[in-house]
Amino acid sequence: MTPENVEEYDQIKWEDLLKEKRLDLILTRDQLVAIIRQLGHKIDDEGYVLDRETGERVLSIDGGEIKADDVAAALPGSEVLIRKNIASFSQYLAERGL
Amino acid sequence: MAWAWLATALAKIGKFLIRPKDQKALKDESSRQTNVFSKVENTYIIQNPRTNEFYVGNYPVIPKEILEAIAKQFDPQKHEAGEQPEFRLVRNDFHDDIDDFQAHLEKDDELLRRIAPYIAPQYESIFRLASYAKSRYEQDERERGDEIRNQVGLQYGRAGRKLCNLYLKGYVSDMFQHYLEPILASVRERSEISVRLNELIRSLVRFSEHVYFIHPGSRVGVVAAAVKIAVERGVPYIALHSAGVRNVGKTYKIVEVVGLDFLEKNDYAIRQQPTTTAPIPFFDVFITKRLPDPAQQADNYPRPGSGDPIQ
Repeated sequence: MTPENVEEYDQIKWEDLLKEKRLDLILTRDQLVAIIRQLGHKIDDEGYVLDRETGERVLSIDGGEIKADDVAAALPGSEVLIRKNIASFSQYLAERGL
Repeated sequence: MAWAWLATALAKIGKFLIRPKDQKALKDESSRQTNVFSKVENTYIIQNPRTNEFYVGNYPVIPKEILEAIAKQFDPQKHEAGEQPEFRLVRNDFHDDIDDFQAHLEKDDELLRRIAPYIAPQYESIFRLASYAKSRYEQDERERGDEIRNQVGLQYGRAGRKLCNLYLKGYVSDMFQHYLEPILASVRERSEISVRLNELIRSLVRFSEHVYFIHPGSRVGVVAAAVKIAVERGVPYIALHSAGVRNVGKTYKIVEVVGLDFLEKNDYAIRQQPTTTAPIPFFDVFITKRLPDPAQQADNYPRPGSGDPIQ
């Protein structure tokens, strides 16, 4: 790819995408941590994500406390944070009947 | 900068997204397109799972209303289902994994399709993962198959990993092949079918106490001692399953330590099934209690491929 390919794209408006049922927002680690903060979570001195309401450490779907840097996906439902583990993702799908 | 054009394009369009016209051309040898785009600083990617198209945006200018919508979606008190798309926020080094797994789930697996509505979510999840690991092994992606099984262990512990191994060795399909139809034919209540199928899975786990899957951490002396104790207690079915040169070698040693004369003395039959022609050698050993009537000897006990009862 070179700069002359700059016209090789279509411009899409968000409004067009918002009709979809589901979208994946793919982010870098830093971006995902930033969004977790934007969602209202605090992160303690050791890097663990804290619950918005109780201030206690959030548990991942595998039952363990989870550091912000280890979050590989934040999934809708009751806000599920999971590590980079396909088995955690599979459990999420099964729990939601997907 | 190979991807400077993208940064230029994104700077031009601000808060809009772009959809590359030739998405396939963006693939490279080492990674998928999503990772390629992640190399450009301050971009984010949207993937539409329905169309598989992806769009690239300028991270610093994600529209505020989108971020608010995402925040609302993650707040169960404010969220109303169906008012907006469901956003899954996924790290770029994990997205290909979930994409690949979901693509696998789209393939029809008759057994899983039939039992999934009734069994507990964790069993459904473990069987799906086992089926996924199996597909990786069949594609000669042994490392990935092993990795999936390890992840099952991290999520579900030793019992989950055992159930995954039982699925891989055919115990689960054999069991359901034998019991599913009679249960579905005789039980009408959905909840009762669930109770029966979940109990069946639990009974398989109990039954498999002396089904050993030999792995690099298995210790010859420990497994051999456990087999001998099981024989002395009269456990009707004991099995050792292994794959790979080292594990197969370890299994031979376990049989040697247990001793054929010890098995004979305790009235046990042993059947060994080495498979050395495959790229990865397999070795299965079945140790079964002889029944009083020679005509009904060890073959009456269940083993992969036999379709015999488990209890």
